Amino acid sequence: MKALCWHGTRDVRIDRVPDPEIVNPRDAILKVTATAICGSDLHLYDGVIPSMVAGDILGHEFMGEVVEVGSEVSSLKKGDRVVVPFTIACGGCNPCHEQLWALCDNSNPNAWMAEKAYGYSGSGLFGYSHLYGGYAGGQAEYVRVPYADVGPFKVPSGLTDSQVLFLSDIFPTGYMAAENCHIQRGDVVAVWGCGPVGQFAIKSAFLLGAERVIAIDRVPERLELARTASGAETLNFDDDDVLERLRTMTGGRGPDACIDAVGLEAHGTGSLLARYDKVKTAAFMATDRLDVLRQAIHACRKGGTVSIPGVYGGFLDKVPIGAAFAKGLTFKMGQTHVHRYLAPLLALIEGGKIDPAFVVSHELPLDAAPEAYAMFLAKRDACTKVILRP
Amino acid sequence: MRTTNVSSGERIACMAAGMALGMFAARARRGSARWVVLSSAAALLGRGATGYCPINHALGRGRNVGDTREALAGSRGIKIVESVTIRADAQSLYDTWRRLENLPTVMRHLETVDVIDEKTSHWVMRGPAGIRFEWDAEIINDVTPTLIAWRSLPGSAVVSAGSVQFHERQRRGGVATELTVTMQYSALGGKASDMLAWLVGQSPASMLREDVRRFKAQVEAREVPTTRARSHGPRSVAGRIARVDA
Repeated sequence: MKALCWHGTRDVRIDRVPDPEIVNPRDAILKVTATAICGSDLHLYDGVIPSMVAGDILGHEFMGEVVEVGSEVSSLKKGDRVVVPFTIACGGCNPCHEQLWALCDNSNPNAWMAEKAYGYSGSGLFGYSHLYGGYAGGQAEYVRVPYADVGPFKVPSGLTDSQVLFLSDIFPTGYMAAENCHIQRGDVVAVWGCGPVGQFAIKSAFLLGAERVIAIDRVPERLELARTASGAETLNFDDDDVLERLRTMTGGRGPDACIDAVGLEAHGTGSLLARYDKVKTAAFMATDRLDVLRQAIHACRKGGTVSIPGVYGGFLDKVPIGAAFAKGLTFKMGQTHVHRYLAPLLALIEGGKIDPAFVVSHELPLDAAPEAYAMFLAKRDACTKVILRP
Repeated sequence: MRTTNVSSGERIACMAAGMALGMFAARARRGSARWVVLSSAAALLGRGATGYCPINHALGRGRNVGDTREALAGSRGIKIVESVTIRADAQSLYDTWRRLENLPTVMRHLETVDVIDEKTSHWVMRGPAGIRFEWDAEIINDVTPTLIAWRSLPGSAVVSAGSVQFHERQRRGGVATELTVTMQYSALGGKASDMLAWLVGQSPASMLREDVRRFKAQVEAREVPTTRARSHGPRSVAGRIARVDA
């Protein structure tokens, strides 16, 4: 089959690879009908996530048609149309029973590796480095899905692929980021990063009752989308003094919650510390750039919440922990517990409360994936979200 | 089972030294010295492979090899402990573990466990460099559903003692049991233990951790996670060296 394989920093190619096969009794094989490039795939593309090996198939946002099931899978049959959560969960361990699906105890065959880096291992992820299990991803014609009786979610035929595909990751991720803010009436939420996750976080914050959402980015089309699609107020960090503006826009209090939908590759605002991060990571002395996180901590009101859906991988330097302590902040973060959001968010889509297709800017064949990665990284051609068709 | 009077650590050392000498002799010039080296290599290999040493026998050395109380007393031997929480009640975990013949399905370094009677069993382990270790073990303490303890019988190639304990807890995700395995080996101390780790690419402690992890996965997920037969594009040299698809 054809698949999009990682070969090194900014080097991805369409290769001919062996078809996947059923290995364990709870596996299923899907024929992928639609897959998307995630902002977090760009971290792999940029080579900042450790333990990638040349030849790895990328892709953790995908949906498709069941073509084969293992002997233990009775909940699915050939021909079912399903969306698959990017987090792989066994459904049998204590974290899974606590609805903490992204923290499944059993799904990472390379747990020892993650334990060395992090103490304990989270769940395995599709197409996201060997640290997270080394599973082949879904930017391919076919994909093997483990624990197929737990993950894959059947979607109604009345909804299009682009309406349901994002249940696999970015819609639940943006939603969980907003839910983690414990929004109450009158709350103001600030969102850094107006990529697809940021867009879903903005929409979700309004759905959960935020009075105002302030969106921060530098890409004009993305700020425009945040205003027109969701009704957010926007700040362009190239033109605005973000901290000062957030203060004055919130009656001198600061936002009640700050969402970092950027993660470890923040472009920075030209501040001294942003330049320091850049030099230090370039010299391999630090792993993560965190200008957004610093700003979010600094901007947040006393007693507020900092919610982090953006991916971090390693170590942080110059984190203003003193500010966080002095203001009694709450931090919420982590990979998304996708499974718990599938049914409730599908209900929102079916009820017409949200149409996730609003983030899509490009729909291309899988063969065009290498160019699509380059375009998405450069944010060329107003690229916000690419759907690939195998 | 054949009587052994050489400890496992010593057997590994003999094998390694024998192989090194053999390779040295193969490259050496012809001559009588070469045959001396070759025969020493053969003797060392034989001593390592069989675990029987005629010199030890003549000297009466190694008679107590296999006595757990002597071999594991005080600071002798190595001790490893591993703990894991499994979402199951203690009784069902105890029952699964007590069926010793099932253990090799998750304990990958074990080849077979044959249950001889209620208390005794015969164990076969695949050791480093293809050496097989066999021993008889007896259960010395058995408390349903909280404790199983065992030790190897005298005359065993691997002198070991161990226990597994089950403590049931109420956790947020439902009832769970803390399983703690303690194992002691006499043979793998010091340099020999380091060499063993080097040969198999894994220390006994991480081997036990992976074994316990597979046991948990088998109970909770009814299968052990794997990326065996994963599809992938062409690997680079570095990828092949890392053996990610092995």
